[in-house]
Amino acid sequence: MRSLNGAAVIVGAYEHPGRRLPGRTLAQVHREVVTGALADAGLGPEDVDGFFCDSSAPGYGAIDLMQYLGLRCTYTESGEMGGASYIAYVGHAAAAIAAGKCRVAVISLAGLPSHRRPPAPPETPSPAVAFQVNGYQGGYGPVADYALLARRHMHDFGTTPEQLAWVKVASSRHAAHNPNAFLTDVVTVDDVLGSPLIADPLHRLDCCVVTDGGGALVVVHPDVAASLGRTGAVLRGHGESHKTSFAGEVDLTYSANRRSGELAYAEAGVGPADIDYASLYDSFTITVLLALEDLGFCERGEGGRFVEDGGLVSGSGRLAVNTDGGGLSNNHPGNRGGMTKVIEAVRQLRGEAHPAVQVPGCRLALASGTGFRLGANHYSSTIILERTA
Amino acid sequence: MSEYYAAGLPTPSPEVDPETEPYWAAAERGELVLPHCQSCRRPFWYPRGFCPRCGGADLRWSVSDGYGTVHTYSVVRRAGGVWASKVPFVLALVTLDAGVTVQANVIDCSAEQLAIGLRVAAVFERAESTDLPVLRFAPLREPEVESP
Repeated sequence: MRSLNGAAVIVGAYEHPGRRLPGRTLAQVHREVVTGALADAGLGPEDVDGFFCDSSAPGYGAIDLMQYLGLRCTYTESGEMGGASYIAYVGHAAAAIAAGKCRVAVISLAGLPSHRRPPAPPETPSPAVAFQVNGYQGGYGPVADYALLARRHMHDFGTTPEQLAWVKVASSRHAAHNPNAFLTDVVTVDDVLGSPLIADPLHRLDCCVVTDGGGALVVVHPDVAASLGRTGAVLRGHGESHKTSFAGEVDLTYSANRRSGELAYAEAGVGPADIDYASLYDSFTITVLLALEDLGFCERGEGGRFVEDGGLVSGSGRLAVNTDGGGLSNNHPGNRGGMTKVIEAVRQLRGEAHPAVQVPGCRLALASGTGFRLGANHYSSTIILERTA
Repeated sequence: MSEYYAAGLPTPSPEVDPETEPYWAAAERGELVLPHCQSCRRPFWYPRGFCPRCGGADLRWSVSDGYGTVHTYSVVRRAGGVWASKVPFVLALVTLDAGVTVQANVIDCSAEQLAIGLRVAAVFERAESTDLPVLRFAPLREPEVESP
């Protein structure tokens, strides 16, 4: 098989309902979301032979979680692509399934940032550490890196703070229909512009929420999916990429989403005009704007005009984006947004989103994510999913 | 009164890669040197012991005039750790005339001056004598001298 188009089906998806989980351990949250996703699929732990988590999982790679959960796997991965990991893992699981390495793969994410245990600095830092003034050691956080992008976008294309604010407004209108959302109040452009500047031009309400919780996916061989009799989401395309400052050449007008999107569209044999619903990474409002351009939903520089006046609101806008409220309003568990992006795409394809935000007849969905820092080094992953008959 | 982004920012001192010794030796003298690949005939950033374009290790560490232009910036108004007491301060990408783009703080700069396109020059700062000299940029105050 030379393509992952049709190689695997997402048959289970579960988002933890909690957003503040005092007293829980990371392992407990992993168990809750894995159990939830397997129940959604109609499978049990004894069926699982592939397991995927990220480097924040408790213990040494995946093995301590597999022991805790009672799994016996022939394929595991515990890598790190930041928030892009779980979208990429759908492709990795499909590749493993296509190669016969496993048949039922579980992808799990849990995070408890409200417990305020800052991650330990890496034992071996990046070789660039002495030259990265806002590196992840001793720096001042990711907002400033994204602010650099936003400022340049405004300079190059005339994008306005008001247009960026519309991304948050749309997410809040969606989150108002999600009883589990961390923020359920509908906000206005003025509310966003009136919130404190964190790293100008980005305000507090241009930033995603910080929440506990997590989610899990069950990705299976198409034969397994057929035996379950539950509507699923078949993988049609998958692409990954990364972008760095390389040798000192910096172009902030596009992200690695451009390449990962091209690869995913090519594998699926579709284009942006075919997509009924899109889950776009929304660590910050500018992240969504760039993703819309990079994934071909609008021309370069047109993101501001695309999102303004409710452009991303389901039903009335130009494209339904992040109908769960996204990371800006609903959930960004463990500071990693990719898992919830896939989960809402699966809900849309199954027709299980809230009726107020459900895209009628949703057949093709795209989920895209970036990991680490868009203004500096970052990963990207994009998948395209189709509703099974 | 206009907001002013002062010098005196923290200068954390990570471990230095021995391959970048020529850079740090020059920085101690207050000079910015850039590694130039002798095969590609171009400088690269960040410093390391080989060219990331071609892999070649034939490098010349040549002194740069340190002039550059602000490509983009942000005024950081909320930060943690040692940076918390320093807000507001400026993070920027500066494109050096030599052609590489560097992430650095801009200091000694007023809000009126700060803009994309602002001409800046390299300066080195260190908070403690045991810290590394950290590359920063300040607005050009003197008329620029054209290089021959």
